[in-house]
Amino acid sequence: MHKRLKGKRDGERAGSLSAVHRIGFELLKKIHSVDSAIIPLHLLEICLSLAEIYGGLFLTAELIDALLGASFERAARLAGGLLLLNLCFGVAIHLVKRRFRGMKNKIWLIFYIWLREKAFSLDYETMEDPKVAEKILFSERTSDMYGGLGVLLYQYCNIFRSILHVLLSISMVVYLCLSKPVRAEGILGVLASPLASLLLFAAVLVGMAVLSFRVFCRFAQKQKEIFDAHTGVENKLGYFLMQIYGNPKAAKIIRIYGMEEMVLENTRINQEKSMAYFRRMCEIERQEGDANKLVSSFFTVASYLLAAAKVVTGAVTVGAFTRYAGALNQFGNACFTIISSHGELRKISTYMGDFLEFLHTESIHEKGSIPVEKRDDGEYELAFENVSFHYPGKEELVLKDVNCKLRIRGKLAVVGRNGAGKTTFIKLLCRLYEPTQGRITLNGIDIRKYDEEEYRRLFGVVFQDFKLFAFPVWENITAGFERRDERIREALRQADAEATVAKMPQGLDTFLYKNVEDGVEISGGEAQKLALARALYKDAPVVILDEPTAALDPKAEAEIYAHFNKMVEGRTSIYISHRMSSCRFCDDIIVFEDGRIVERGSHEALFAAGGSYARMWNAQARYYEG
Amino acid sequence: MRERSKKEKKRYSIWDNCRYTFDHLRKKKGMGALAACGGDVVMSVLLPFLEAALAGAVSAALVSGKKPEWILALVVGYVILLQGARLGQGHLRQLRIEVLFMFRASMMDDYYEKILRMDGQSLESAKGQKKRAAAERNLYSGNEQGIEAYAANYLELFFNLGGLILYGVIVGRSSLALLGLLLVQSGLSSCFQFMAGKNAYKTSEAANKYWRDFQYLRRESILPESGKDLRIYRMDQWFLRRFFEWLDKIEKLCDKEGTGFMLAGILEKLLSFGRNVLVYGYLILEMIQGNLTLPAFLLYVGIVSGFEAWMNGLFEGMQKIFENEKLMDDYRDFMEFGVVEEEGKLPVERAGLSHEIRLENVCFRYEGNDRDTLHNINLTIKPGERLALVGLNGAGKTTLIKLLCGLFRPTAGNIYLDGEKLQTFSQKEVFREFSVVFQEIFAFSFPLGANVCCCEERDEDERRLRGSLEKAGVWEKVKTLPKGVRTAMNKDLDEEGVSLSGGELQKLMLARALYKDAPVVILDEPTAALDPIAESEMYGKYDEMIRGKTGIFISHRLSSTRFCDRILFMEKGRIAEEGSHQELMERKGAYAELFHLQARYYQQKRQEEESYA
Repeated sequence: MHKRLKGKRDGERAGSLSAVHRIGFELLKKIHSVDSAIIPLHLLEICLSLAEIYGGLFLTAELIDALLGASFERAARLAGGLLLLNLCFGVAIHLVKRRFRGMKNKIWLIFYIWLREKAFSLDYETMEDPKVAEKILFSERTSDMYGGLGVLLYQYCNIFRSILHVLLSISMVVYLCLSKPVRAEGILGVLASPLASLLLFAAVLVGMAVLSFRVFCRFAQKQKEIFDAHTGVENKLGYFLMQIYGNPKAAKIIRIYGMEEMVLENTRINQEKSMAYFRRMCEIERQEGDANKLVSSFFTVASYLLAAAKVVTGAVTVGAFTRYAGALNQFGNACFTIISSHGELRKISTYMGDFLEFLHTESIHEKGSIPVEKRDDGEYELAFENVSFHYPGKEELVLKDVNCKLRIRGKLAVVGRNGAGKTTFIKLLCRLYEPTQGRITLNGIDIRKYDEEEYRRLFGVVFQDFKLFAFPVWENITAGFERRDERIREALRQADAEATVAKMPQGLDTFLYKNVEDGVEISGGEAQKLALARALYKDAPVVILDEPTAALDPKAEAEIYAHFNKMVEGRTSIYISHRMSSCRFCDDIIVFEDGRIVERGSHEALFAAGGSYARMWNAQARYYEG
Repeated sequence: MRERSKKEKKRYSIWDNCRYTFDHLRKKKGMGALAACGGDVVMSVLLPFLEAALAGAVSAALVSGKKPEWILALVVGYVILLQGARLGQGHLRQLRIEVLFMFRASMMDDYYEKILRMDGQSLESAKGQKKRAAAERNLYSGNEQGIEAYAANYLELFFNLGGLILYGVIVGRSSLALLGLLLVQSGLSSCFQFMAGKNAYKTSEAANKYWRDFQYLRRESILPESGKDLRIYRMDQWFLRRFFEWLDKIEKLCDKEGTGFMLAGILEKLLSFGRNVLVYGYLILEMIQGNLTLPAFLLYVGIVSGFEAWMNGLFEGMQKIFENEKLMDDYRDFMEFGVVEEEGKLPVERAGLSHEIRLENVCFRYEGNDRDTLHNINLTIKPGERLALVGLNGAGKTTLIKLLCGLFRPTAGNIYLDGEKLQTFSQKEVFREFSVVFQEIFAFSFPLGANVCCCEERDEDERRLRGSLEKAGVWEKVKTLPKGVRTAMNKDLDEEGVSLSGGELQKLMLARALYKDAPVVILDEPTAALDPIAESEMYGKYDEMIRGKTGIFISHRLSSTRFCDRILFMEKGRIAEEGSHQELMERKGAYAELFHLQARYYQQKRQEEESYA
């Protein structure tokens, strides 16, 4: 992954000024689109606080001169003005900043939503592409670590603020330099003369810029080297923390198999690497801080010297001195902020660039446009025509030249050994993947031509690894469809889940699991039934069940078998299972072997044929004899 | 006991937590770490003072009327001193941040060890998992929450207190009334901040719930296994609706917080305006009367505004300490939770040989449940016996095997290993006698070999490894992997890792048990993910696998009872029926009924065939 990133960096010269800010501005635009008040309010806050600072500097200078000149009435007026200025601007800034907290969180979270919104809209195959998944994970993890969008806004504000500071303070200092000394004697007089002081100031400025830029480059380079060498360790530690230490499943195995020392040793190896990394990073940060402070010391000393010379030679007043000293102070800080904020932006732009790239990802397949004919009679005929398929990036064919027509309202059992292609067959049928060769048709037309969403409406599927979510029962059943309570009840009845829901404290409004609300825990069998109800609620003409009984006890299994006919009444159904008994209530059986359909027919016919099916049947049935 | 003491509000006093933190800091990072912290505190008091005094000091030099060279030297000298202090403070602060960060990282070692060394039962319990998750937050919430922040909060408290005292002394020496004014004003404005902070803490507790909800859906919605359901059931619309709902709620709560801070801020501004009017008025009057020079005026102005900052810092430090107390409590609570094995336990005498296991009136109840999961179990498992454990979901089968292998301890009754109570042996040694394949399939993201051998690569026995993989029927697959047994599982630890299918993983779990070669083999649903042929092969090899060992087989596939000597049929935590398949079938009880239920579809076929013939 990191090789890929590096490649990109070199190719685009990412990290170059234009690349960084192209990404930055695009993100700012996105932030603006979420809430058009965010950026203007931040800018307003910056302007107000600058006005307060420079207004304060100006008034303080006047105040000091008034005090020195013993004109106390004027001093009192100035002091009053200064305090009022602080009060008014202070209050105004607080008013402007009221929503900053909410805004910060909003742009932080919206980032995750954007990622998901995009991920949901992409087709399944694109999302399954490990490279795409990596892209999401990488930008998300790094954004978690370094702050993402919120930090981006913050750094841009910093830069904007600092640029204003620099402009204001430079103009003040130039004004200072231009002031003519009254008592121009000796070296001091020369030093304080406008031309010399301008030159001196320019020299110090350039010197500082050069030095601090060199410091920055040197440490940025070092940091990058260490950072690049480090990648991965934190993720590994995250794995240990979440999947091993935080996982009761792992805890049992570790104890029974005496893996304590081994796990600990592996953790420590990574922990030490991580510590060494952070130690190095901290060291560099410290050195960088020290170096920066050292450079700024020269600047500060030189500029105080200059300003003091102006006072001593009578070019400016003592009050003006404090004003310039204040401005110089701001100037020095602002310069560093610009450099370091730019560095941060550069860091952000690397992973945010990935994020933007992901937002621009296009689905591999077209969504299709033909509407699916709505038929009350459920006459949807599906057929595989010479379908072969391999997963993207792999060469091995999972399905080989599959031909079959699904009988309308038929009950089809799909059996075969592990890895024979049963689940892949279903995935292709649901258009989660597209055939590598051949085509799948609905009423004679290639399914790719249909509108994707409408086509998927045809299917109610309970996948082997189906998921329910920690939301109310009704929401788990309706999912993305409208809530209609009578239909929910109907689906629950058909799925034999009425009793399960009836015993829950708040019926349909009961939350599942404990993740979100203090909901109910449900057994595997109950979950299975709810998933089934979800499939039936869609009122899809084709119902598919993939290994629905693997985790069920014989009684629950028998119940599903007994209800199967009622559940799929009037629909085309497909039942995948390793339990050969399930073939008994299906009228058609397809046997997969090594990606091909090797047998098809009724149980009786296949059993009599004595082939693959009969072998599997016997392997299981012989234990039930007698 | 523990339950109760937790309800007694706070188990650890603030002082106790403070001592705990700094004791550990000293132990883990040495006296140098404490010195860095101390240095940071001192410099953090001095630097602001020097900065506040800058204007006064420089103007003092400027109006001193000395020779210009002298004035310049004085100004430059002071600026150099100040820059030196800045450099020193920056350096020490960075050092302190580093020290505390490393301290938190090194505390993780304790946490890891605790999880590995404590007893499995406490860890696995709902309470244990909750405590663990709570303790985790103390170490893994970044540097603004948890133990690292807690230590830093104390340092902040100290230097703010130091600064307050220093400034207080300076102001107090010239005017006690002024000091009183400052104390009242800064105290009041800190109170406003404190209240806004407290209010924010309350709203953030409420917001935290939405955070957690958001994080839950954020994680779940993008899991690879959610992708299929998501597209079939149009869940995108559902999820996005929820995301935006939460986003809105979080934003509203934050706005509420923001309003609180805004009000506190405005009040504070008004207060300091009032104070400033008094202070400036007083100072200008003093100057009119000639009691005060300009440099002193500037010094006081700097000190006065600094005073408020110290006070705010002090309150803020206290508030943060209170907020982190909860995390500290939770952490220490977990670190003292559960049982750590005592010394002096016996080794298992007949280690590696077949054992007799006897259960006498064994009951087990999960904490917080109102009924026993296992009730009054009496059972003797003879050496070398082949036992089948069957029953409906929730009958207590899995709990029973956790008791058998010593992971859980009975709530009542006793378990004997070769006639001796299980508790007399060292737990580690007991575990050594059992090979267990648990129901949930779990592979570590280590290399495949490590998953089977459960040890470092250097300790692996290559031949035995291969043998067990062969016996488990997964060697053929392993051969096709890019790095063979060195191939990592999944991609968490190695980017070139591979994912195995459910059936392959199940076989891998079996290989792990076989490699261990312990005298008691327990298999909990080892065939759920296997196809009929693989299942049948496994049945066929079962005899060979457990030759000379005791075997316990749990399955919903009742066919598996056919190759066991004795079947225990469990119902609602009791052993309802017991005997060989033949005996139980003849008894026509619950077992026979269940068997028929499952066998029906297979047997009907038989009958039909017979009728064909």
